[in-house]
Amino acid sequence: MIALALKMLRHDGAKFLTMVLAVALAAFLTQNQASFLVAFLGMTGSQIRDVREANLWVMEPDTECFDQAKPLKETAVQTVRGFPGVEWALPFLKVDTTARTESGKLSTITLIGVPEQSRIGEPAMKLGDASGIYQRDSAVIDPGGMALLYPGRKFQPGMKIRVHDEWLELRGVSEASPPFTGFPIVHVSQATAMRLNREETRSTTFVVGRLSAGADAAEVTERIRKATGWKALTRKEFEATSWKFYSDQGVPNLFYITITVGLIVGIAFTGQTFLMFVKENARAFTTLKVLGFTHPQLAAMMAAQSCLVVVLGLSIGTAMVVATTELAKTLPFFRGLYLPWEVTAVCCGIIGVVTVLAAGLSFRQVLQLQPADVFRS
Amino acid sequence: MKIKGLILPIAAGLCAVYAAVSIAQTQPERILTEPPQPPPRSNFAHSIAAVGLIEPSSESITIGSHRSGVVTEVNVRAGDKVTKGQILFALDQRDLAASRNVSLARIAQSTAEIGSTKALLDQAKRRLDSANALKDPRALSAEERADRASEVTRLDAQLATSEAAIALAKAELESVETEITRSSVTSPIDATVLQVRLRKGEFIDGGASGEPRLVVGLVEPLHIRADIDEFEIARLKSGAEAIATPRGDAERRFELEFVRYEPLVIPKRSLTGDSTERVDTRILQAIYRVKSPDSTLFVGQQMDVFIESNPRSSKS
Repeated sequence: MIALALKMLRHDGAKFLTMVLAVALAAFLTQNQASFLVAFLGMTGSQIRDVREANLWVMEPDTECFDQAKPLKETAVQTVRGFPGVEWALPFLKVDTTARTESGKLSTITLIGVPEQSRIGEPAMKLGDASGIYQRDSAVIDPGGMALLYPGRKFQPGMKIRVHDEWLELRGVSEASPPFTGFPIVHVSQATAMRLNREETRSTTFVVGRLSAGADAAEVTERIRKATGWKALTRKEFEATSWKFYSDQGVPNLFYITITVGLIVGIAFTGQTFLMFVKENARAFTTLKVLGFTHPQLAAMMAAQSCLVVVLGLSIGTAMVVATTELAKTLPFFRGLYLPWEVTAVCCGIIGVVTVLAAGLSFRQVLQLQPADVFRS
Repeated sequence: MKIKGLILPIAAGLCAVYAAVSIAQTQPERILTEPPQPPPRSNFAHSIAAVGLIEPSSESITIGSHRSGVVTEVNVRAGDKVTKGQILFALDQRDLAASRNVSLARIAQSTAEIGSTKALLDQAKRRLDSANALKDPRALSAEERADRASEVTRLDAQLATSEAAIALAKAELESVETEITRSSVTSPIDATVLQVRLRKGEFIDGGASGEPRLVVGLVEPLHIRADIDEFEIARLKSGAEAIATPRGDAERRFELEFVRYEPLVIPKRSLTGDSTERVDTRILQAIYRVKSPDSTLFVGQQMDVFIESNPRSSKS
């Protein structure tokens, strides 16, 4: 019986293909835009995630994301160290400044001072060695920075960038996660970063630390907040705060519109195609009815048909999203793109539900069919 | 026909596998790793963290010079142990040696003058005595007699002048010798030479404006000066244990023994050394003694200090 249902599908290969492609297209449209949005908003936490050793971030109370942070006073790190439940704490210095290359290309950059003391937040390297960070007047740049400052050129040892009035020699290309701002991420030693920190008088942008094993994160952060007035967040909370801060802005709002449009188009497309299919096969179903097939049997047949179409369509559509994402990822600025599994799950779920609903609606027509309909039209 | 019908399902199956593998591999990692080098950690339940600087127990003594001049000898090298009063370096003393010779010559000259004046005085006294001894006053004129008396008075005065000149020359000699002593700079205490930025032939400025060229200090025992944020002062407790870990090697802990607090709370001195630095914190300095230092601790090294403390009051 199920085999018969599948045969019905196979019989009209072109229509079958159209339906599968319709579902695939709907899956592609929805997942593509949603994954771009999620990946871009995820980049707001790139620099937070890159400090792989820390799960506690302390900052001034109004700091909402990594990029806009007012530095803390110098002794803040000592204060945080003094709280029970804090395993260790270190100062983290981020400097927003501008850099220019030897040929005069100019860009705003984010300088990150890696503490020599424990080397937390040291980036993984694509080219060269991370120890280059700690050498005098040296830095390590991310692929996005290479693309911005040296468009079309490959990294060569001896390349230099000028920050304020000092030349920094580039010792390698890091694999720093792409920042939301799109500015180059340049890693230097904390001493170098302090020297180049001309805009601010304070040099502790954040205090980063690790909660003791077994400590209650909520209790420790609350204690720090109450005693000092600073904002203390776990890594996850800080990522979420950054995400929220940026997701309320203009560009993400445009994305929401695109995603909604994609969803509507996808849903309409799938539902429509399936309704059409049932309509066109009305004759076949009537014949089956004449032959004595019961309604539950017909329902099972339609369920099998719709499931097959949905599964095939979603597989192809998701693969299309993955392929475009991987293609886009080869560009330095899009290297942070990825397809979150949550997006796939939600989009595929919605499309699946809609298809089944459409199938249900179509089945109502099948119910109303009379054997006499075979001779009509 | 059969195979043709399977193309779409097989293609879709491959797509599903490709998508699943790719999605599984590209999810961002949220791993928590250990720092490449261990950061400093407290080993007390409640602690106050501070930044400390190693210093000699005598504090660092920057040796100054009274005089300005060219250095003729430097007797010590950084790291040498010196005793109290040992000469560290000496300045050029040739001008003082010349002045000394002048003073000595003046003394000799005045001594010689005293000799001749004394001889003349003896002679004058004898002539006055013989005049006084004459029985017949008419044997000498009154004028002659008066001359002989005033000659004695004059020579007496001359003798006193010469004696004063000797005293002056001796005083001058003493002063020159003091200057000579001051040209050799000595160690004020038993100590270790920590820094020598002074070489033979260099000119150094004396007095208060002079730049410190030589630093000595008593390094046994070593002290740590810990900067404690003023907000933490309330949590200090007496008899608290403390530890210090060197920067870059936080695994090693040195136990500390409390010595004293500096009674004056001062603005935090930033170690970045930037002239545009603005102070936003005041600190209390606590002095600790390193209980068992080893050869890897040096004066001036930065340490992370943890001091056992009272728990933060729950109200705050």
